[in-house]
Amino acid sequence: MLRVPSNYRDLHKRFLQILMNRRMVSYEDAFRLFCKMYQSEEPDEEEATAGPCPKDMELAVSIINKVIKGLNMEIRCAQDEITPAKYYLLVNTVDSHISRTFSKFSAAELEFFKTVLSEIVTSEDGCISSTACLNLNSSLPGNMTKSDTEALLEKFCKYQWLYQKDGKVHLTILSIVELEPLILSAYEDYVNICRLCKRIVMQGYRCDRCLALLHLHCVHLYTKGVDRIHSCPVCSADQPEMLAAVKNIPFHSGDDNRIPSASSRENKTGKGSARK
Amino acid sequence: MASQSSQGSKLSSQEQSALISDIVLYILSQDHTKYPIKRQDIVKNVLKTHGRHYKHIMNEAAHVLTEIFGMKLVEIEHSSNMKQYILVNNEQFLRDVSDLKWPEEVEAQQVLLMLLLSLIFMSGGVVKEEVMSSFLTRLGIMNGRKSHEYFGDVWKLLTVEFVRQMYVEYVRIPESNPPKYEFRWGHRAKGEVSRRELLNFVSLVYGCDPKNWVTQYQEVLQAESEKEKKREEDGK
Ligand SMILES: [Zn+2]
Ligand SMILES: [Zn+2]
Repeated sequence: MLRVPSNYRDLHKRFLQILMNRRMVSYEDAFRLFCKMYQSEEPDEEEATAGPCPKDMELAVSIINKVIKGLNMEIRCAQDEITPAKYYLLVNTVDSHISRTFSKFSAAELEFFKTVLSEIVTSEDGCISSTACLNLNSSLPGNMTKSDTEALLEKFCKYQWLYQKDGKVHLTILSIVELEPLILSAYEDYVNICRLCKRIVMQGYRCDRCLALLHLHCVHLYTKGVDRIHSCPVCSADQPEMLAAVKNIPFHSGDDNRIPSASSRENKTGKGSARK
Repeated sequence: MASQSSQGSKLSSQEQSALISDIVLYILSQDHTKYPIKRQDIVKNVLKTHGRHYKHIMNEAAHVLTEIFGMKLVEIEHSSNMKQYILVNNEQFLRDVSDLKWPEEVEAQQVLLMLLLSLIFMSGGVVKEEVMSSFLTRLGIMNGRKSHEYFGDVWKLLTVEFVRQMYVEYVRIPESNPPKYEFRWGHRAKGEVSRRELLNFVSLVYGCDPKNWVTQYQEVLQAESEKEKKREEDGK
């Protein structure tokens, strides 16, 4: 009954397994593993000695996605809001009764997560302080102690739905992408949509006139052109701070579609000067 | 009557694929525990009233697990009226994942498991419990029943958790009185753990050539050729 295309090979199964195991793998790590697996699969092919390029990995991901679509799974690529690192994420595209019932969390634990999610989404800065988070136990049914809450927060961090940094609790890019449908429907009035990519944004650059929130990596691409546009894409107000906001973030030179290690190959300054 | 029951049991191909994908997702969702999955739980949680299609749907689900994920659903004999399964991964695929860093407590368990399986393998397939405990004590991993700060309650891991996960068997030596126990490789270890890698690991520790362990090396070759044969049969 099941038909798997003939170009779906062990390489694809192995890549899929890595994502099932980790759910979230940085683009660089994914590519490093992809190269290794690629070379082990075709040890004597001429192609293998040159090594695969990121495009090969992206093609492999699209082949995998076709195969797992019927299981309501998908590998997505998304960029972190703060570090600008790119990640591959394995998400369930449908909130099925199986994934809900047999998740690693009890109903009460999920209730806690929902409360945290709601606090974060409705907050001004797209994150809440760890102390505020630990105090949420009082608003929940049952008698969770503070140390229970602490352990639970830790558990959700391990599951990569939340992360803590500098005393703040944030959503991860994995939970933002995976829970996007839920967040959009439950918090329609609160959630910010980045005008540049039309996706949810929790933290980024805020226009001081219309208060539109934009991803930093989207702002980076938007302002990168020759004329260095710095007017708000929503209300057109002049926003010189936009340039400053993305100035010190370590964007990779080829962020649009390449990975950092490939960017050195694209360096064509030598060629340009030879022409002169 | 007969015609009625066969008619009533017919599933549309849509219903069928939905059930297959639910079973696959259910089995994958249980995989992190590494515990065997019982037939009755599959029926109770997924198939429900479609229990009579069990065999057909399970075959398809096993096919999906192999073709898409590269994992094998293996039926384990437990008792005649209780079927259960474990999902056995490809030993090669497991290596890919271990290239990424494990969370610390998983890492500790992996290390312990490898030590345990190595000892059994190097001892010819079976190790008495007192040999095992003195081995681990000598390595400083076990100190009576005290919990180890890195490995936790080691004896419980060995005799309960790893047994349940089917990495090892912990069985009473027949007719031993008072009862004595011994360790052997479990079903999952046989499917997932590479003997060659274990032998390389042990040889590295002892600083010698893997081929010097003649018996073990023979076993490596034999296990590999058996796996190769099985792969060819499955491929047909
Ligand atoms: Zn954006
Ligand atoms: Zn604006």
